[in-house]
Amino acid sequence: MPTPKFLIAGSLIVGAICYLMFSGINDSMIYYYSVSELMQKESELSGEGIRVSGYVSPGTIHLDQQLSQVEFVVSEKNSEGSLPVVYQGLIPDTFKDHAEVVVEGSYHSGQKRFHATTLLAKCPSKYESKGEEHSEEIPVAQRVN
Amino acid sequence: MIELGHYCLIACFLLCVYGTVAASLGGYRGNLPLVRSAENSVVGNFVTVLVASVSLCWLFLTDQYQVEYVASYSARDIPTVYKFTAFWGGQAGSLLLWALVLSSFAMIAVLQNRHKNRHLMPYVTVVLSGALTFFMILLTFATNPFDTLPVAPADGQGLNPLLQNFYMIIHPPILYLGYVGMTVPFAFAMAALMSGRLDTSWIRSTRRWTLVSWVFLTVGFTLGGTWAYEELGWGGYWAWDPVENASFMPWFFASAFLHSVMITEKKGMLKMWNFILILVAFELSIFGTFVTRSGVISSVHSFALSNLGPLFVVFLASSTSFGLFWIFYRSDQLKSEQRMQSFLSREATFLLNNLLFVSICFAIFWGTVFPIISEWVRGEKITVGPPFFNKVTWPLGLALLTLTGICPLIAWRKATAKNFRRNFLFPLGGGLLSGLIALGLGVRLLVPLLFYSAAGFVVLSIFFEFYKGARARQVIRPTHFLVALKDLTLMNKRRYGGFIVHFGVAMAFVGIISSSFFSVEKLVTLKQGEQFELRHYTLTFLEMVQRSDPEKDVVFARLQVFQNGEETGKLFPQKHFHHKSEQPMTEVAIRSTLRDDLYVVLSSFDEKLTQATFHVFINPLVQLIWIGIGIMACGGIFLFFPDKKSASKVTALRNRKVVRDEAA
Repeated sequence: MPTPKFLIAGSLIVGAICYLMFSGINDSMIYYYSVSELMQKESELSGEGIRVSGYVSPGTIHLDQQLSQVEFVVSEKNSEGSLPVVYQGLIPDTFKDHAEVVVEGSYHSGQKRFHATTLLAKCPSKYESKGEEHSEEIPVAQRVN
Repeated sequence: MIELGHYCLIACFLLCVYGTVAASLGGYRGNLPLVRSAENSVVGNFVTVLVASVSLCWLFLTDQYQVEYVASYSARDIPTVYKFTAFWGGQAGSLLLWALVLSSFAMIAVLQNRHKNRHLMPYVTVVLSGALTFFMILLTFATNPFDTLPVAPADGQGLNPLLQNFYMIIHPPILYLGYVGMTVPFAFAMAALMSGRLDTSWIRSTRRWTLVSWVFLTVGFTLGGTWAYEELGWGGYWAWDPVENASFMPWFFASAFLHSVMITEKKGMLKMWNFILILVAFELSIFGTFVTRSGVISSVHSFALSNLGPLFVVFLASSTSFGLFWIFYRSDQLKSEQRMQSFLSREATFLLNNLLFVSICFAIFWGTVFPIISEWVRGEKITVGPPFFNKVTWPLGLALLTLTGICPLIAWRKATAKNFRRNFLFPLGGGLLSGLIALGLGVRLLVPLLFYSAAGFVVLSIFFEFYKGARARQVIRPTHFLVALKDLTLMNKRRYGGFIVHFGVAMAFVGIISSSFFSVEKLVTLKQGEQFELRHYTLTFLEMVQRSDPEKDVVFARLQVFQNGEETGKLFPQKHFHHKSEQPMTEVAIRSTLRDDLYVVLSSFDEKLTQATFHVFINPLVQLIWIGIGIMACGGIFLFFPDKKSASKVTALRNRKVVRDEAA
């Protein structure tokens, strides 16, 4: 058995590391919702940093070249409810009608719009119909900082 | 060919089962012929898997679309090299690649040890055959690459254009060599436990195979990062994506083992710890394969589990319990021979280094699986993004980097003031100086300053060690300094190879910290002829050009680059529109110098091709990361070769024995 002084030092270090991890989780955790879940808790989630997944409704993509800003509507496959999203930044190649997307940002119930800071898109096509390939979720506008 | 491949897989499965059973019986009863026969079955495994793999390659190259797997990942008009690499484009093929690599490693291990480590080999064969059995179960029953379609389609569905590039040709196989490589050290460690022969003979084989795996993992995840950097166009190389994390995690445990094993060899301490490290490294490499292949975490929708999920969970659980059982069964023999005496000793700093490796890995693991756990526990899916990983890893990384400088220099048992003065004064001064230089260059953030000082400390301590060692040699045998340096390094590969790896680590850290803290990005929309400035670069948008070839339409922008007002070349960020694919491909233009990377992405453009939006990044010192990791890998390969010294020691011992025999 290790001597008490090593046990104490060890547990101090482990404690510090655990603290680092749990505070890290608390500071950076983001709730993940589907469109319908967000709609149910609309007012309560307004302004909170969240992540929403769904599909791009066909024909709703409007690209503003000047601002390099894109507006589109996210909906779910088998349920009601749609979420207008506005996003400024780099648009992934896989982003288009019907694409499965994850947007990160905050919903503003006053404007009824979701302001996205991150847009991830997954290709809807045939490529990854079976096993998943890690190229599918393409991080954009995420920065290591 | 389809039948041939299919039957080979079944044959291999049967051989694996036979090998596992025969080797365990043979080992248990001490029946040598049975053990030999099991070892031969390992060679048979390799042959059958090789034939199956060649068949699959042939099916791809000859466009046999009645095979479902070929139809899903290939097409007539993709270049031949990608027909070949489509082999590992999907789930079944990558598992076959796993099996191929594992069976070849197993064969090498068995053939290498035909005349040595005989007390271990029956059990090594048991574990290797057992692990391969699992993959053969997956390949024959769950996801067979030779499954056929009722009607053969006229053409295949093609390979995702994102996967059609150089890095995707070599990145998956190399990463797999790393993942699979962890099975062999696991097998040797388990064999030591099962046979009860816990002297250092297992450590030799385990250490070398862990090194092999470590080098491949290092190169593998770096290539993945390079691919992301050059192909995905978001300006970074590491997004803490679950699949990336999965490849990173076994690496930490392998690194921890490579360090802790030194303490075991020198001091007879940390014995049980070594087994735990190897066990976890192996489980994490299986977990990594599972995450990559099943999409359990990366999937946007929760639990989009493929049919492999439960099988993997069963295998992970059973192999972990198997390993833990043997570790506890032999725990009496795994007691430390010595006690730790002081915090300021090499033993204690190595222990701390191990604690850090394991903690970083655990933090990454926690962040990676957090969405799943939160969904189980609270019913809500919560994710943690890159901020979590960055926040948790930097303090641990800084501590680890600092220890990189301290560990090799501090005295065993108990450091004295004299040891401190002799070894640390100069490097510490150097670290302080590099911090001050960074401050002078305008760095005003605390975290990077700390990292630069630590890296300076490490680099100087390494140079100082080489210098002192070579000087000491010159005293004994007067030669040129460089000759002494060479001899020194070759005589004591483990120590100086380790320094080479550490030098690469320090370099990579500087690159990672600089590019994380000091990169800038800007999104600009420019009309033809317009200019814009970012730091010391000025870009002029000359024109948009459109061009077509049989495969795709290409649209690219021509940008003139000026650095500090001087013309330094042109950049062509592009978008490719493959005719077969609905999705455009953004091709990033990168101008790399040692100082920084100018990284330009063509974001969008108008129909008349007169105006375009660019996403421009300046990422400082990114090249240092690739160079640093390259040095790490070279150091790792260097470490693999046995020491001249130990060879000469063996001869010396032998000579002494001969002399003694003659005297008698």
